Amino acid sequence: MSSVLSLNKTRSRWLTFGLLALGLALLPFLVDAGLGRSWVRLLDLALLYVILALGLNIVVGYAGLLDLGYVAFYALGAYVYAWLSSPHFGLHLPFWAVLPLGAALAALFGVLLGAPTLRLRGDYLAIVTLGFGEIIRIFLNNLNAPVNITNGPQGINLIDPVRLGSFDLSQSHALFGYTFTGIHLTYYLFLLFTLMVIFISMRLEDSRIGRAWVAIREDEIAAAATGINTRNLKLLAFAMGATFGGLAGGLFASFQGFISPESFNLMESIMILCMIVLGGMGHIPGVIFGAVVLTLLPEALRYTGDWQRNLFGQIYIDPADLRMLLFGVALVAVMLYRPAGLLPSTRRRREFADAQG
Amino acid sequence: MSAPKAAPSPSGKLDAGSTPLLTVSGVSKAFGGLQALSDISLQVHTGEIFGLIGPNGAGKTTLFNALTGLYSINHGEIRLYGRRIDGRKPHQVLHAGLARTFQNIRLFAEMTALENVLVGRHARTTSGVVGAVLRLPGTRREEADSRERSHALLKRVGIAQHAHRLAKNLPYGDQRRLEIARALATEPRLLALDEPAAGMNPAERAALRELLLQLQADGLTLLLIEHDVKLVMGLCTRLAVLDYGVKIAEGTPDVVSRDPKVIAAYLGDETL
Repeated sequence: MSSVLSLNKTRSRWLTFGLLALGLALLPFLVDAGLGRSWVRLLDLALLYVILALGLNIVVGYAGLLDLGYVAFYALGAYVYAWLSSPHFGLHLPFWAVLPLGAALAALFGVLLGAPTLRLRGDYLAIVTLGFGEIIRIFLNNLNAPVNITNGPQGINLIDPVRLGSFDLSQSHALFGYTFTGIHLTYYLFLLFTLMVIFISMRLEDSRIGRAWVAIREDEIAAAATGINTRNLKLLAFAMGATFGGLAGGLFASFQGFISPESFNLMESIMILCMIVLGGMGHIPGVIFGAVVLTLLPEALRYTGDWQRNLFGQIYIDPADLRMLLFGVALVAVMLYRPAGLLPSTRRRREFADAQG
Repeated sequence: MSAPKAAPSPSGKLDAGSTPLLTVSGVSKAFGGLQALSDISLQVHTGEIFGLIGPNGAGKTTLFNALTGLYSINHGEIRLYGRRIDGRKPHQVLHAGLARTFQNIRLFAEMTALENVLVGRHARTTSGVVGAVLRLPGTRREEADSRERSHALLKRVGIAQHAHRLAKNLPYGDQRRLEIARALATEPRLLALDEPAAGMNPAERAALRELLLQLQADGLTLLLIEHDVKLVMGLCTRLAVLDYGVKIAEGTPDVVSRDPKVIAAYLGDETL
């Protein structure tokens, strides 16, 4: 009886898994046919933001360290890729060598940022990390003289796309009788890395390390008195988060072919933080959902000009202004009506239910 | 009674049989102008339930915080099994074998009871990031062992039925029990309990008393801060009395309760 039940359970689990895989595989084609190619590009970006949000989720969601300079690690990963794989220094190393290097450098900087801020918490930590993010960006902006390292505000151009042998991911390819454009192929590459990051996050969450992080978030003194080396585990959280940030940065550089300090401003850090808070802090499906929604929503709101024209015959409010206004309203509404996030963990949901009841 | 102020030898390897479990010698701690602890010396021997009593503000919790590495001390030294633990970080003190609970319960509120106890296993387990991500056989064995022990500890303190409830949703008395289970998960040699019976009703107190006696029977040494005089007198093998940061008496409950200084400082104010 129970064996039949568990068999059914495994079978339905595999069925769900299969359908999900099929859906994810077909998604770029459905989006391409239904909404247009620019939305496939956005899909690629959404996957990048999922990686970024899951990285920041380790620092903010699990360990409870409010980091407002997370974009610095994203920038470092992107610049490492650009330095080692573009005409800027004349280096063209392959992506499988450059991506890990970028992630490793970001992790190192994560530890460098973490070490002096170990005693800080909450608002104070937020201010220091915010400063760190700005310092990195300003460095990137000004390191074009006396030695041109970052090419300053002009940024670095002609960055190599991901290439495997002679297979260039930015070009269209005919495979199995279908034509895959670069944007479609990039989707699959990013999906692969995203799934890897999700897998690592899930495994860490349900482990000795993940529990120690949450314990530090809940009560640092009790955590220390229960035998947790809070210093090492906080540094580990910073390093893990930064690794994911650096990885996303490298992928971003290869995808865009061009990077400049402008892409890595404070707004970007805040956006990634919003994805976590809005989706459901510390809850992997929530964070993924938040990242996808907050990547696509501002783009969808670009069409407000068309809506106005259709409804009223003319445009009353500049779509660019209206877009940010509606975005802000949406954020406030979510925080008012779903304070634990759009997809909170059962834990957080209970917490807020308790607070109300 | 005055402990030898030996030169601080790094390892302090003495014969374990002759060494008391915990030796506090000449410990002082000041907060600005306030002398919270003055020249406190005491010894706790293996298998004892040692009580620490005194009026509010006498320095009992300060002494606990000093013992467990939360406060640094100004003078004196603290040894566990002959090894110095003063100047160590809280997690190092715990590794050395001294676990504690807190007066104002400090559980990990958003974690389940089971997870709280699992965090206690952290100090006695070793698997890292790679082990966790790849679920290596060693990690899986360790995790299974931790879970088994944690379930057993929840059962032992009598809250097995709450394993999957959030710590903050447990009844008050059970939260105190959970804190004890979490401390026991770290496999301490000495367990320091800061007012474990505070806020408990008589039935919960009786159950707690049983639990503490059981732990003692199993070979654990207990250091106990408690306000409930009846509980302390009935439970403890020896007592030390603090008043204004000074140790004013030490001995068996009988001797201490007849000490005029103690009666003046503490028992005289109590309506027994």
